[in-house]
Amino acid sequence: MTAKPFEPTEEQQRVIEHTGSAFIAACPGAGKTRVMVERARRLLSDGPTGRGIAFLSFTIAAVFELEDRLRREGLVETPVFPHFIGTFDAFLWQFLVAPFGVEGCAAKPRLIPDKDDRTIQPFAAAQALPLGCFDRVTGDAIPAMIQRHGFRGRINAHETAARNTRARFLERGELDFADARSVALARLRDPACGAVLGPAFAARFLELIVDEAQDCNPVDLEIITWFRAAGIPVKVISDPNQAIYGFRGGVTRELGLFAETFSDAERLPMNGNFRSSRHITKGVVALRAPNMRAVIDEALGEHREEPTAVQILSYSGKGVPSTIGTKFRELAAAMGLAPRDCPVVSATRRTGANALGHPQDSGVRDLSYRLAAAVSDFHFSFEVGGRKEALVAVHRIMLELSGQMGGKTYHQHLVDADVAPDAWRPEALALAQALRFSPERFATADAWHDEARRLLAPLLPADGQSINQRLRRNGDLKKALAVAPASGHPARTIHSVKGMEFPAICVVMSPSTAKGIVDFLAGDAGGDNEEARKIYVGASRAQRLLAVALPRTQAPRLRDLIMGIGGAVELVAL
Amino acid sequence: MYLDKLTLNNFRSFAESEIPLCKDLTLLVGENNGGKSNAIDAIRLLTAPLGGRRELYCETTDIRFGSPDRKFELSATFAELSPAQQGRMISAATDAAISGCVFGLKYDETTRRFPIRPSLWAGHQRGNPEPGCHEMVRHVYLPPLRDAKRALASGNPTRIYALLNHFLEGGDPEVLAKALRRGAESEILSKVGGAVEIGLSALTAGVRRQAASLGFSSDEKLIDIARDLRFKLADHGIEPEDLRYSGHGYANLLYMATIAVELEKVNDADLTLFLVEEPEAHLHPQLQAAVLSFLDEQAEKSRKPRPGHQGPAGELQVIVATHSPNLSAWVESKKLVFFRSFLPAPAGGAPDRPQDDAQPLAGVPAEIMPEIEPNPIMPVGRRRRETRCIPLAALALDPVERRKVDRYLDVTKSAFLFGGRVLLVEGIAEALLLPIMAKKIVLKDHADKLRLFRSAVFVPIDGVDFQPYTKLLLSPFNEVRIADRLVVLTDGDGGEVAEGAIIPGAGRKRDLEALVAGLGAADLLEVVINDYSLETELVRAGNAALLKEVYIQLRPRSGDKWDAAVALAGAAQAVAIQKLFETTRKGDFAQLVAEEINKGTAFTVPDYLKTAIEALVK
Repeated sequence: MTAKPFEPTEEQQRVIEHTGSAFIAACPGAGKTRVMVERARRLLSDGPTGRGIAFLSFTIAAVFELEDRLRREGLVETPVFPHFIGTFDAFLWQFLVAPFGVEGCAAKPRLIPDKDDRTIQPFAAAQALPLGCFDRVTGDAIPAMIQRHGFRGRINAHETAARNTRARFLERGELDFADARSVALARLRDPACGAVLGPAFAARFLELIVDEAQDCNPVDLEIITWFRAAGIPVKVISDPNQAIYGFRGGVTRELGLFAETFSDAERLPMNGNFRSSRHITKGVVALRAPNMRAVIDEALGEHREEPTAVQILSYSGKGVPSTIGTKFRELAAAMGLAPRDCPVVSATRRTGANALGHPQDSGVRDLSYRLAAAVSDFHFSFEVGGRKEALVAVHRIMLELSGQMGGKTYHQHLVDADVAPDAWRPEALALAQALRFSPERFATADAWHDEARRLLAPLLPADGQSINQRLRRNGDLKKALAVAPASGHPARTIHSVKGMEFPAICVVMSPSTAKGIVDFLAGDAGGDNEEARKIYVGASRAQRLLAVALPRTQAPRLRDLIMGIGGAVELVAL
Repeated sequence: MYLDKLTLNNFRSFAESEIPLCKDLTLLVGENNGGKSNAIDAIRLLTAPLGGRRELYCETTDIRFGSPDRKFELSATFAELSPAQQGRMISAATDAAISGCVFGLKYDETTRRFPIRPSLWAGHQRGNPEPGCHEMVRHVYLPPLRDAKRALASGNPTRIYALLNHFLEGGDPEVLAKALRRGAESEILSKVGGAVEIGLSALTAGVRRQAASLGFSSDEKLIDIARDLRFKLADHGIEPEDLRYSGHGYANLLYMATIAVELEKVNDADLTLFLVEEPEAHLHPQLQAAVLSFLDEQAEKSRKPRPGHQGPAGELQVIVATHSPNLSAWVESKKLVFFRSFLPAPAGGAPDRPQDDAQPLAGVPAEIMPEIEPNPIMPVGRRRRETRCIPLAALALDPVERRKVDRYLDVTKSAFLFGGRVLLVEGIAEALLLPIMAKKIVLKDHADKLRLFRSAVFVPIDGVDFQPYTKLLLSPFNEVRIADRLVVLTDGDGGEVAEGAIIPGAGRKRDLEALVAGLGAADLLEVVINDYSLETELVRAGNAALLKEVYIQLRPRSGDKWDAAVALAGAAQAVAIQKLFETTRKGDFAQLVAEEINKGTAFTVPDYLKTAIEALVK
């Protein structure tokens, strides 16, 4: 980040120089991106060879950052060919699914990421359930899922309809990421295809570097193993403590077994933390599973001498109070930090918003509210990804109003109608701009609502409901529109800050999860706790100030845990 | 890896065609307007130019002339990929085994999204190619010299100068510059125009010898290429030093220097296609073969396996469009692809409806119309000419026939690849006499027929082995044959045949007719025979006096021999006349007879020759 020449630590140097496969366990702030860039420089030092390096990660943000760095260092050009920089799923799609199609299906494969959102409604009066409620192999309803959707009654008709829907999807070559992974794996497992693909990939790629490997699910791991067996040096970089993609099937136990397939010489640690202060570094160690605390990361970065202790914000009551935000703001301000650089994060955006006293997502999902939330998100997102997502939400609402999607999912519609982002984005952008909520422009939320109706009415199909029926008045609209002023702390989910860093961060545990998390960290509960890993991910983003908010009952236990590691910690009762 | 197959759909002169190509060198041969350049342009559209600067783009006029279907599509299939190439071309794989890769280009006006953006697709799923992989196949386009200005302007004149300098084995740059300046006054170079001047001024301005030779001496590869090129020319008996003193010479050298500079860059790509159009337009005949065999060798060399090398393979493939018999004679027949314009039979046997009005183009915006104007839509029922190809490799010749064809296809004979009407004769005498007989006597009053006759190709085959030629010319491929009409003129050779036995000529006629009937082309072949041989038949037709005069010109003291032979009758006469020509060259004799006919001396054309002439223009 600074212009001074990079001087790698011994650990980093070993990783940069290691030829062949390796499993690299990296702590937060270990300088992974830097090390990957240096590794690429090393591999490409003999000039262009026509062979490439495949860089795979699991989040688009991480991919962007790495690609940007490699480009700025002059290590890759545009297009990046013969290299590959992208998500694991994009790699599989590009190299194993799109070129070959799906066995037994004549249609060209198409990616429909939101396939599971497709509604299943076997007959007009039946309750609509998303396809995701039904097992992708058997088609049987998944009890936990239908329970979440409050379904009661006989499910047979739904199951039949779900099976038929999945079959139709497949006939049309419409795959989601999970389908794509199994198609890819089947191709690699096939002896004839594998015999061709192995040498082809080995000749094309000098090395395969998988970052954020803690997010691999067992299928991903099998695929990586295949590449390793094909003779391609594979670098697997992971922080098992940061595995927070359980919903994608990511499993820490399998990762552990996978790591054991590497010899001792191939297992390289990176335990120097260049991001956080020494207190935060220790505090973060305390947030790992009890059996993962043997090595205490060393603070090496510019903030290592920061004296501020980890702040435990102890709150009372059944909900998440806005006093958390107030206190956090005070703490950050005392260190001279701008609030907008210091997010409040939690597992769900709602918890974070509560902590800041922001209007909460009341769960009312009517179009008016969603439009207001999308427009607010657009104007208060502070990085490109968030703005893009907000625009997608705006576009989706426009499509829903116009009735163009029919029974299709959003992505299915985009693919079918061959709609490229540049075709719809200008319109969505114009709408988001026109509906920017500010007191000078709109005296009241109702005035905003009237303008929204006026702007969107032309989209409605001729003989459907009126705009007033579609965009109903909603009492919560005020709250959705009054989202944080630009100078305040943003509320974000932990997933959205993965891979980033901030001068200060406040991690909020909700009353419903806090006890489970602290029990797990204290060693009082066995098994696996993904919620705890989320807190770990959030907390390890901090450079100078880390605040953890949790209920009064749990706060002292957490303080003790951190003290046990040796970090300075202060408990603040709110 | 090499370009194995090109498909063209509704593109310019092509309705729907597939052109197979050879690994090292392919010659596209055929008449003018046969569609050769269109095939070359298709490759230029489908692949990236090596220099990175595209000179050709898809246009609305590329849609087949008069087609109501406002789109076209091209595709290129590549075969024999190395594992590294399979890895790079995976998004364009033709099948699960990645046994090949395919790229396609689709230009579609029916989307009504103007301006039209041609879309590039890849692989059997016709998906998006991985960005960058398509650029692993490049082309170098070597246009006929009339466009050399451009070719030169895009090259680096200093480098080309340095190369020439080296190529000519040192020498004083001042002298070279002077020679070049003198050359600039020649006709050819005046066509090259300003580009050369730019080159020359760069060369002569203070003669930057230092910079030029420095820039070159570090360039190992270029030196190697120059050395190879020089050796190759020496093989063909050409001294580069001699070339620079002739008008064409300098242009030729420039051309070769351009090739060398381009060749130097091929290692950055997996495959470079050298597209050479009409090299005969500016290269000395003996240079044509020298240059092409040089390229062919470079192509072969580029495919030498380099163990452990996984980067771009730097392979080379040469595709030449030519109507030079010199070139088609020089390569094996299986590397030739014959092009011709073909008028398909009307669908369902419906008669032509030539007077239907052209239809307006629905949905095409007014501002685009002027571009399409010369290409109005023709009524569907109307027959349109289209390009069809015959890869000579695809014809069913057995190995012996194939060897014969390769041996026989010399410069004079390969001419039949360029014309639809072909007359095969035994020797030079017939080939000399028939045109003059047709012009002065048989077709004297039929200007139309005479024009047809003149467009025909006369091939003396030096013998009687007509079978392989006939098979080559009349074998069908995708409804078309190389020849439109084939007349074989052969002697009866009935002189020394036992009474009642079939004469050799009749036997040949019978065999050829049976062969051609088997090829389904009986109506395209006419085998014309006489009783004995040409000279005898000329005598028998009543030209004895004239022929004697001519004979005596050649053999002043053999008048008696002539009289004695002519005095005989029937088979005995034939045998005796043949004996006369054992010591007299038939070609010289025929030449003199032709001169007499041309002068207007009275002459009677034997009936069988009349028949042959008329059969050719039928």
